[in-house]
Amino acid sequence: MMPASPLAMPSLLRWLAGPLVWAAHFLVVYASESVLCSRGWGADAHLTLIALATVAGLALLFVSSRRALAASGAEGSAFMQRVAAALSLLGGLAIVWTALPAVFLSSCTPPS
Amino acid sequence: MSERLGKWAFWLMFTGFNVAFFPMHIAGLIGMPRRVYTYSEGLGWDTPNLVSTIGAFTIAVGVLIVLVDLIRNLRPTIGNSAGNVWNAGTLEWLENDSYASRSVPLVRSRDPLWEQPNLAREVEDGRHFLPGVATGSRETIITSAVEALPQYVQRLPGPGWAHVLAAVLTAAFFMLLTVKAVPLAILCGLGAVASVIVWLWESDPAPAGTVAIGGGIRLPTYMSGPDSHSWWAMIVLILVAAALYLSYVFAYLYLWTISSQGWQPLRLLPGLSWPGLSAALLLASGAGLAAANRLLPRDRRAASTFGWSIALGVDLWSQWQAELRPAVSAYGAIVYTAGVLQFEIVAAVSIMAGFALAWLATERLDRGRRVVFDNLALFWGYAIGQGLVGLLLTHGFPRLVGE
Repeated sequence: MMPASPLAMPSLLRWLAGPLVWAAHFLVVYASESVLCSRGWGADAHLTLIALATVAGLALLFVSSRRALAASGAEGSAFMQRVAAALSLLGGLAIVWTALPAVFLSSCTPPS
Repeated sequence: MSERLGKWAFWLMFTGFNVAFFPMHIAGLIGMPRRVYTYSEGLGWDTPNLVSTIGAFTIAVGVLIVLVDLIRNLRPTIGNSAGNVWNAGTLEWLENDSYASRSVPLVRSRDPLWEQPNLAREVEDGRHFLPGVATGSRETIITSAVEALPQYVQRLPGPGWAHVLAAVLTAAFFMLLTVKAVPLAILCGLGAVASVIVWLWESDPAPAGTVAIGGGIRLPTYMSGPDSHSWWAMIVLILVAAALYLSYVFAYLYLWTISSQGWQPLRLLPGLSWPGLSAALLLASGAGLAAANRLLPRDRRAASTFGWSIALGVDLWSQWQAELRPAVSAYGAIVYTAGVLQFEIVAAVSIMAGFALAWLATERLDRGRRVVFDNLALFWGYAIGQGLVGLLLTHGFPRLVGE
């Protein structure tokens, strides 16, 4: 009679896909700048990495929000599924925002 | 409260906030550093700071209006609530007694007071859950987090002073540190820990079977492990500790990326036998914990296993301290920081283990009544994991990159 714990990880991870994917993207973009530049692998490697991470992050969030919206017809969990989809959208916006400086500024150049 | 004064307060605070804080962006962009309380004039920041000051006083006028309106309409009362004056839909507007509702309502939507128009009367008539006491003491229903399905009945502590003392002494600890009254602060901190222990001593009553809560639902009166809310509180604590530790890992790796000076581990690294010994002690403490788990019924040997494991946890700290003596470089400091962070966790685990030992000695801890042990084991497991990550980072990473 005891329901399965609703905090069970899989559903929690799906609801939090937006913030989690954004955090992973942020970490990759931010940390790789220090590592790649200080080890002399250069700006091109960093730009490529940012582009790959951004495309991968946006693709992941696109899939997760599509899945959440498709499931929002189900009884009971509709509200949480819409929240999950909205968080994915927000995560996508944040990823684009995080990646923008890479477009406008050059990597591996200390501020003068 | 007056609607006219409320509107005045809103616009004064809204305007004041933006007038106070927007110029700070400008001042920052033209070079003003933060957290310096005064500057000499003529540095180019005079005008933005003057505007900010005007904004700050505008906020203050708004707050003053709220306070005046509040005092004008003060109605000191406990039982005589104003009720759902705004006809709001959510549960916090349900009319209450002085501290709780007559029965715990079953809700079917996110706006129960709109969707279930008779809800307030039904609750008042005791037609929902727990209209009387099911276990004979203070109690509440623990539900699932999202769908609010009833899971078990949690008994609550009775009246007491220990938690008040714990709050006051915790506040005193942090506030005394800000005025650098360190010895007094430490005394207050120790007092706070003691108060929490006194508070928790009666907080986990023995299982009392299942009870009926009304509506044909019977619930257990005890829960441990992942079905217990205290398990999830421990998970949150672990997430906080892990966030702190990951920040440390980040700082360590950052020092490596700017390594032009101070990064000299290969010269200072102790031999692999030291981290090997530390890791072995950590794993042995994990084995001791697992053994304690199996010996948990009223068995004195479990107590000795506990004690042995604590000794090893503390031992780790002394090993750690012995290995790198000169803390003169940035590298030395960052390595010692790992030890300090690990010591904090080990100290907390030791206090929790001491509590569990005392419970075991007074026959409060057994195979059924085991929240204290399960939460200790969870945090202990985290402590072992953090310790191993720290060893891997500070001994493995320099060898991996060969610098």
